[in-house]
Amino acid sequence: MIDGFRAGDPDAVRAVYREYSGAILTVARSIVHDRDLAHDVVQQTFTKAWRSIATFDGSRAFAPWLYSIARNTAIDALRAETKPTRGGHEPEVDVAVDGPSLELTWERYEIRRALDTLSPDEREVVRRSHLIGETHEQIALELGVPVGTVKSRSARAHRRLAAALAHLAPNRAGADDVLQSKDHPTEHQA
Amino acid sequence: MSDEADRADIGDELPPWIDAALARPEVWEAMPVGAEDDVVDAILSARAAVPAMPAPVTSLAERRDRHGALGWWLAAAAAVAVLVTGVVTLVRGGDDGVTGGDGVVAALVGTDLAPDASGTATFEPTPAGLKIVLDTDALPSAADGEMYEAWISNGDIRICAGSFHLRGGEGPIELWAGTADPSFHMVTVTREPIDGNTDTSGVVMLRGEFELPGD
Repeated sequence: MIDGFRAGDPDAVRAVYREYSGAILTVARSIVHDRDLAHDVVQQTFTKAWRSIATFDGSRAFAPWLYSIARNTAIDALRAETKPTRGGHEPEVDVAVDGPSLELTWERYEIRRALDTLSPDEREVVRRSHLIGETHEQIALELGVPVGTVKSRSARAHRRLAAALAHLAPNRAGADDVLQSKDHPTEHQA
Repeated sequence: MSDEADRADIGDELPPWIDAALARPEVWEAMPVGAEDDVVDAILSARAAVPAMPAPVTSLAERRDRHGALGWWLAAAAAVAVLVTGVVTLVRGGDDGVTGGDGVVAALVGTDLAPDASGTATFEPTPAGLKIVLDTDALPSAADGEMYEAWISNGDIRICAGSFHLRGGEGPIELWAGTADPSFHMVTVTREPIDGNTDTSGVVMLRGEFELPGD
C-alpha cells in the first residue's frame, strides 16, 4: 500500500486515506477546532505526505510518520489563524502557539485508529455508549437488537480496543522511554 | 441495575483514560463526502506536476564533514557535481532566464511552519553583488496578500535579498544581495504580509547556512 502511495497509484491513495483520514481528522480537530480548517488540514496532510514520501524510512512504521505531518500541518494552520501582530515578537523566531501536547494528540490518533478497526456494529455500540452515554437497554432499543447482543458487541469491542491501545499504557504511567521508541513520533520526525 | 451502573458496566474493561477519550467528539468525527476524491485528485495533480520524486538534500555541514580536510570548496564542488548529474536540479540555464555557475551550495531546511519544505541556495559572488539562486521544494505558494522574502545574515546584520511568491509553481528563483562579505553565513526565507513594512516578520519558513570565500 505504501509503495503504491509513493507511486501515486489512485487505489493506494484511497486505501491510505481510508485507513488514516479519521485519525488525522481527530488530530486536526484536537488542534485547530474549526471544522472546515480541520478538513483542509487533512487534505494538506495527505498531499504533503505524498510530496515527502522520499523522506519516509520504510523500515519504520508509517503511522507515526504520517501523524507527525498531520500534527505539524495542524499547528501551521493554527499559527496562520493566530498570526501575531508584526513587531510583537523577536525576529527570526518561529511563532509559538499553544495546543494539545504531542503525547495527547498521539494518544487520540491511536485511539481513533483503533476505533476504525472495529466492525460497524461494534463501533456503533461503543459510540452510543461512550459519546452519547446510552445504557445497554437504550442501545438495544435504538438498534432493535437484544440487550445480550449489545453486551457481547460491547465486550468484544472493549477487548479489541484495550489490546490495540496497550502500547500507550506505559506512557500514561509516565514512562518517558515510550517517547523514544521506534514506533512513537517525535517533534522532528517527517 | 441503575442506568449509571449499567453505563459503568459497559466501560468496565477499558482503562479510564480510554473511556474518557472515547467521550470526546473529535474522536468520532468523519470527513465530508467527496473529501477522498479531493485528496486523490490533489495527489494526481501533484504527480503530474512533479514527474520525478524529490531526492533528499544533503546538508552543507554533512558534506563538509564527509570531505574533512579537503575543505569546504571541494565539498561544495562535489555537491554541485552531484546536483548537475541529476539528483537535484539546482540551476537551470538558458530557457528560463535564470542562469547559474559555480557557487557555494547551501541546503535549506523547512522549519515547523513548513516541515516538508526543503531546497537549495547557490551563492555566487559577482562584480555586481552576491547572486543567489533558490530552488525550493514543497514550499507552498504564498497566499494572497503575502509573499516570501529571502534574507542573508551574519548574526548582527540582516540584508534582504528579494521577494517572491511561487504562485506560478516552483522553479529556480534568482535573487541578489548587495554584499558578498564572507561574514554572512545564514540564509532564511520568511513569510511576509505585503503591507509596506520592510522589517522581517520573523515567520521563518526555510533556513540554511553557507560559507562564502574570503579574500
